[in-house]
Amino acid sequence: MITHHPSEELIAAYAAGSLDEANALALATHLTLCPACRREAAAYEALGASLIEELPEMAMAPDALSATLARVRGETPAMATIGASQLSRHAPASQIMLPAPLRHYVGGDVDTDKWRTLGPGIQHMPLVAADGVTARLLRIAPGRSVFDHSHGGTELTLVLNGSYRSQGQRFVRGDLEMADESIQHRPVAGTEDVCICLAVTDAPLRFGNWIGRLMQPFIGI
Amino acid sequence: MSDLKPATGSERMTQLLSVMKAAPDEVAFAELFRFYAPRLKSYMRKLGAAEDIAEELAQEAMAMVWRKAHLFDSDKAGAGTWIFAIARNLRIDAFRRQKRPEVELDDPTLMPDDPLSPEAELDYGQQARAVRAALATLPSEQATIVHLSFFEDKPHAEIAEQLGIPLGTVKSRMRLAFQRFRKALGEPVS
Ligand SMILES: [Zn+2]
Repeated sequence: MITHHPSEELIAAYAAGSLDEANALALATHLTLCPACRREAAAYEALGASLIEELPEMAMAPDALSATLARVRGETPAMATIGASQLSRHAPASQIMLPAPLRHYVGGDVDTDKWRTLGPGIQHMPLVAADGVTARLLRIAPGRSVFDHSHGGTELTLVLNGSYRSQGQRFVRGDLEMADESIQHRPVAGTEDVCICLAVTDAPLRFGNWIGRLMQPFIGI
Repeated sequence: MSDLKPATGSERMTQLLSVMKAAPDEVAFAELFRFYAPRLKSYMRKLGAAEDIAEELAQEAMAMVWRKAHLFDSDKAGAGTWIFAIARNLRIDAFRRQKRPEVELDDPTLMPDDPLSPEAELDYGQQARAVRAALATLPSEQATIVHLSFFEDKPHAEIAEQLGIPLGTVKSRMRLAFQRFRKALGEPVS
């Protein structure tokens, strides 16, 4: 049961198309798992449609319609892009199913060899770095704590498997936590299973303990 | 085409797109084109595209409407919303050279909508009218912020500079504007 959702502004920015790719990936993944936020996003897209319909018309080239028809005439009917259902047939049988937006970045499910060790019991897999914002998967062993760190900017964390506790709250699959510079963030993975989450950061993390400081220049996160 | 019920505005556009979903139809397409292409060109210009690029992107967006019409589902969105999403993704690709992560409706991990929720009964013509009404209730400074968030491909810090107000004010105005919009649309603000 999802209880932690992105803010109105974040959903609106996703719908407007003004989010960077890493944050948009987190939103598309949450929206796949959360029908309530999907409805919110649809309302903001309807707002976008309204705004466009109210824009003043700008004259198109005189031959624009015929040029566009010429562009599409004789094209073979568009093949539906390879959707998730086709992909999943070839995907290795994994216990953990990633939502389609993420699966396209990982190139399959989570049982790949792309994981890199960050520290004892913690691995990561960088996925996107664009506009100074980074998205990566984190895999945290049951019961392990992620380094103490605070944030120069904001961070989104979206749980995909297992759970973690942070700030006295529990986060499970689909939950999206928004943290900013005011929060000393020290998530602890639940003991029931390995915790896999998508982490989006828009500034380098600042680790509070010595191992973090030691590793920061080395791992570049 | 001849069996269309008389309708105007966005409802008419949704009917036209449904005609194209059934089979390619140049007459229906021409009417959609005349309504949307000049507005999509405006959209691209507002986002900073030069005249010739805006023309090209508006034509390409409409070409994609043709190519993807068979995927249109009037139970999920009205024509305007569907076409807006196509144009938005096209400009993200063209201006930023970035991919646009999207929800896929045939994704086996997709959590389905609760069929008993009141929104499942939503009529998209009604929704479009409600959105316009909600937009009209916004005070002008909030309406400006809403416009900027859809029509400026800029970080909030630059928007703040442009309006001559602090960044925190942009953020709080944005939050207020969207909360007010949601309230006016008649759904609870989370
Ligand atoms: Zn949600």
